[in-house]
Amino acid sequence: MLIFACGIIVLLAGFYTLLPLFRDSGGNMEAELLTESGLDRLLYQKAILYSTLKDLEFEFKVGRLAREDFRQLESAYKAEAAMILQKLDQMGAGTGLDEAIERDIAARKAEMFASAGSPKGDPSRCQSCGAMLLPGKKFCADCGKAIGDTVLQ
Amino acid sequence: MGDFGNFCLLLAFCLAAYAALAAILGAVQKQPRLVHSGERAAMASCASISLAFGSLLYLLLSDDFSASHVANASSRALPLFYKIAALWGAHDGSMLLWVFITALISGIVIRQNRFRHRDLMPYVTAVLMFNLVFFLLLNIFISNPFSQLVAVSADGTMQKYIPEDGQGLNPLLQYWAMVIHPPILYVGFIGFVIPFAFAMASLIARQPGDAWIRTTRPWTLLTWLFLGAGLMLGAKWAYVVLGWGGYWGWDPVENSALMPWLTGTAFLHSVVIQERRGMLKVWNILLVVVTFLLGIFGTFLTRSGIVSSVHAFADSNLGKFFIGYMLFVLSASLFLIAHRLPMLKGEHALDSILSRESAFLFNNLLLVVACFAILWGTMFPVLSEWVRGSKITVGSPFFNSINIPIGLLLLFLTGVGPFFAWRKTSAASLRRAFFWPSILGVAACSALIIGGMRHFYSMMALALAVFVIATIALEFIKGARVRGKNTGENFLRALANLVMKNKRRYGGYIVHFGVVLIFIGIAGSAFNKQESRQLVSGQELSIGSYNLKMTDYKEGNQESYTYGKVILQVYKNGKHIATLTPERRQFKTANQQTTATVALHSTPKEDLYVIFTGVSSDGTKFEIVAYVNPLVFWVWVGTLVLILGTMVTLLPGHKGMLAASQEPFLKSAALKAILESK
Repeated sequence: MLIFACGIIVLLAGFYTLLPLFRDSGGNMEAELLTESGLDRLLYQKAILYSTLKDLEFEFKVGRLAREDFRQLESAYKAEAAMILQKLDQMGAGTGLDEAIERDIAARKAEMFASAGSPKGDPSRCQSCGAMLLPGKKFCADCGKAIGDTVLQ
Repeated sequence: MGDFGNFCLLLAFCLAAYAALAAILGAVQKQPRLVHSGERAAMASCASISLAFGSLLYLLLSDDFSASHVANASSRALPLFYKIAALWGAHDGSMLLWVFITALISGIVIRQNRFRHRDLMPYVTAVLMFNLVFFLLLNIFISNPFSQLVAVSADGTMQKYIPEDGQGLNPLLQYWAMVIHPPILYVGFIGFVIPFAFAMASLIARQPGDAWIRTTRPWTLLTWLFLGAGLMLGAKWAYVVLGWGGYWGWDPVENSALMPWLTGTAFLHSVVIQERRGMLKVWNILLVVVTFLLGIFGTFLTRSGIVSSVHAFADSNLGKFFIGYMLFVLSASLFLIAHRLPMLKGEHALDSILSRESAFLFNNLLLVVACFAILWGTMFPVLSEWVRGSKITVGSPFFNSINIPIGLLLLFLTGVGPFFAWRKTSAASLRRAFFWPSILGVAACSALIIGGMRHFYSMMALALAVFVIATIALEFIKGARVRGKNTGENFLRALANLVMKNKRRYGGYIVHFGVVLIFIGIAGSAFNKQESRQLVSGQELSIGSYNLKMTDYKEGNQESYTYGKVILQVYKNGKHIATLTPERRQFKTANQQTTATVALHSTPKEDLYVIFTGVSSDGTKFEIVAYVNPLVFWVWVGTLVLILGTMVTLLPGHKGMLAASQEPFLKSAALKAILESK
């Protein structure tokens, strides 16, 4: 009974642990996309500076800062914020999270596909958008175009 | 069931070792599938350890004395509640609890971050699992709760031995606070592995951002809260159960829990400077490494038998393994920090000495010095034995002489810190801000002197407490007024919204208020009184304004112990205020251990604390020891306030820093949805 129970547990643990090794490598892209990028860091710095500016104003209003100090610090923080906004603009970001995500995905996809070359004649890739095709799928998971005859087995 | 428990531990060990290797290999070879497999192995290891934990619990509840731990820590007569607590009532089982909590915390973090910080997570998994592997090794091969007892017969053959009954749980541990104290304290010790693992991962992955700080902040706060709560539960246990009249004795094991709490407190403050100003990056990582190591050091002190303590387990041969592990962690961390030093360069320099940054720096310095002094005092007996061959114990006077002035300076900083603005503050605004709190502090000091108080440190503590409470109150009042003016809200609504809109700052002030109350409680200890007397029925003992009149003595028999209790009528200034029944219990265990149960009459002003210490040889006189301990009540109230304040800071925020820290997560969540839709 004990050996049987232990055997079952080993099988379950082994199956659960090793399963990802036999799955398709869709995770490659996931790992690429889910890292903290420079954009994330800039967005975070921007949020910190905004909250610092709000705090500064609050501290001035409760009388903790002299007017002169307040002005000086405010302009220093604002200069820092302007620099970050400028960097964000250069990256084409700053108009909202959804757009930032879309741009990030598009940029990284373009980078990946560019390095993979043209999809023409490659049966493992979508002829319309160049994305990698998953086995057994009838439509491209990226652009939704029908794959037709090039369905992978 | 014992064999099953052993099997689960071995399986968990294999899975954790695989998890660490797979995560590292996956990261190096850029194979996310391997990383995922490693993360799943970590979860499976956590599940396997939970099964082992469940097995030991089953063995305890079913009185199966074939397992050595059950025979050592439990008995048939033990009530159900304490049978559960017996799991961590002796060395081997408490090691399994340590492993279980380590696995649980590691598992939660790995699961939480399965779509976040993908560049850091392989290394985080590897560090967490490496740590788990070390403790699993000890739990399996050195300190195994499932090992079996053997009897050696006259001819030298060994046979499996199952005793009729166990030795029972140490009676001193049979108290509610002691049941929850170890798990809470362990979370406090172990939890620092999370910021440590993320800090190391960010160094290995060359991740220059503050991602590790943002992600681990709630964990750090929660761990710090558990460590503080565990410390205070231990203090409460010492006060109510050990019966030596106080709640803190600078015992090595108490110290070992206080040290990581001090460095953890320093880290919680200095990390704000890194978030705000991009400074102190090396210092913060060093603090995390030291705090994590001090947590390991705490359990090393308890388990190695290297120092004598009321808390320590008996001597064991674990010491050398702990020393080896701590040295390895320290040298690997220092090497990594040195190697990545250019990446950790500060983004700004200190603008002015009159700034919040410098106040935080000073606070850090004091906390670290206090920690070092306690470490020195705690290890002095061991060091002196090495150097001079004789153990010289350092007593309370050493610890008090260093830590009381540092504590008062810290209390002062708690009050002045909020006056400073980031980067710089003008002297004029400081003078304005200091005015009313200083007046109140000086007034309190004068009143105490006029009232006859001559104890310098207590007087300073109470005067500073008034000063700090005034600054905190002013912070809330001024803030609510400004908010009310801006938004048109009435004062109370503005006050509530002020706290809810900036939980970190105002939650922090509530924590500071709790600390002040604890200081008030500690200040009272300078005026403790003690009296003892042998009484017969009808006689009285006088202490302070109390008269304790003995009216009766009763004996009785409970399932696990016999008891004798003295009935005392308590009069204050001639008026009857309470009946106290201090008790002595003799437990029906192999060694017939006797304990004294404290009788307590607690008020905000003072505690009347009575112990029944023994009966005269002719059985007619009853030895009673009474203490009057002023202001102890405020130590416990302060702890509750501190817990409340930390919980406020942990509440999820709508805007500001916390929301900003969630941005990458939102992004990841959106990406997760895209990936899962495929």
